Amino acid sequence: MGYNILVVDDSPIIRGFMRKTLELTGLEIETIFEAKNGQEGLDQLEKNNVHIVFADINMPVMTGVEMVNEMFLKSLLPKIPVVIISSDRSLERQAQLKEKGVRAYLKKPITPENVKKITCDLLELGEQRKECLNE
Amino acid sequence: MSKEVEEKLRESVSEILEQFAFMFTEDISAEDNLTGEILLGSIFFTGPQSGIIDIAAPESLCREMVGNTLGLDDESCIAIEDCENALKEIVNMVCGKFTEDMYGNEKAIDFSIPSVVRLDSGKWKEKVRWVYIPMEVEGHALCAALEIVS
Repeated sequence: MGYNILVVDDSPIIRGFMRKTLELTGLEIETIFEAKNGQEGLDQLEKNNVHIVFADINMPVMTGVEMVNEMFLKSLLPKIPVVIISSDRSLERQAQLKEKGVRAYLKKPITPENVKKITCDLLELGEQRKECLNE
Repeated sequence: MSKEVEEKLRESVSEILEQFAFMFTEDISAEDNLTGEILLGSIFFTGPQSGIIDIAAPESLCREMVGNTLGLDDESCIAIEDCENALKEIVNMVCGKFTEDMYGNEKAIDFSIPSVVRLDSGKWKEKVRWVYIPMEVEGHALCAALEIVS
């Protein structure tokens, strides 16, 4: 089964870097959707079956936090894990975001290894997870 | 400004360029050797201290960074906006790494939205900053700068 992944970042460079990084993980990926702000991210979630979201925090129109809040109100968070990717490395910020329902936090610049581990942790269970990590 | 602070900034720039753009830096003892028109990326941070980090680089280096980051063989298709976006991201990540090394990662630090301007290297050299770190990045000149304002 391939995964559908949504990348939400206002920087086309970061979206391109994320796409390349995801391809390097070796994970079975069906489609990578992209959005340049939180509102476009929500639009993508409404149209497509997304398994996991990687999102920046500071974006115009709608921030990553605002998008997570909307996903909470729409009861999407239990089904679709959100991973925040940010240059902000503070534990305080990570704790604030996890209180809002963010499942994980990755520091920029991300690596294929970190992305793969987070994705396996959040999407794979039991024996499937071990296989995912051993690939 | 202490040598320790200079070293932290230098290491932050080197690490981010290596991890994000797959480019390696060399320290140079000479003065900043930027010439002609350059792109200047800047970001403000507010935390235990407040300051500004600049990264000045020629467009040719930014173009190569974009090509490396996105895995593009043909750099001629890279728009100037892509170069500016790449430099914004790099200065953003450098600020994140530097402030973590300086102040730890317990408390949140606020960053401004990074900006990029084009200017002549002569104008860049007129700016007053506490720390200037000229570097060479695979044959290109680059200069990182820092000022603590409070």
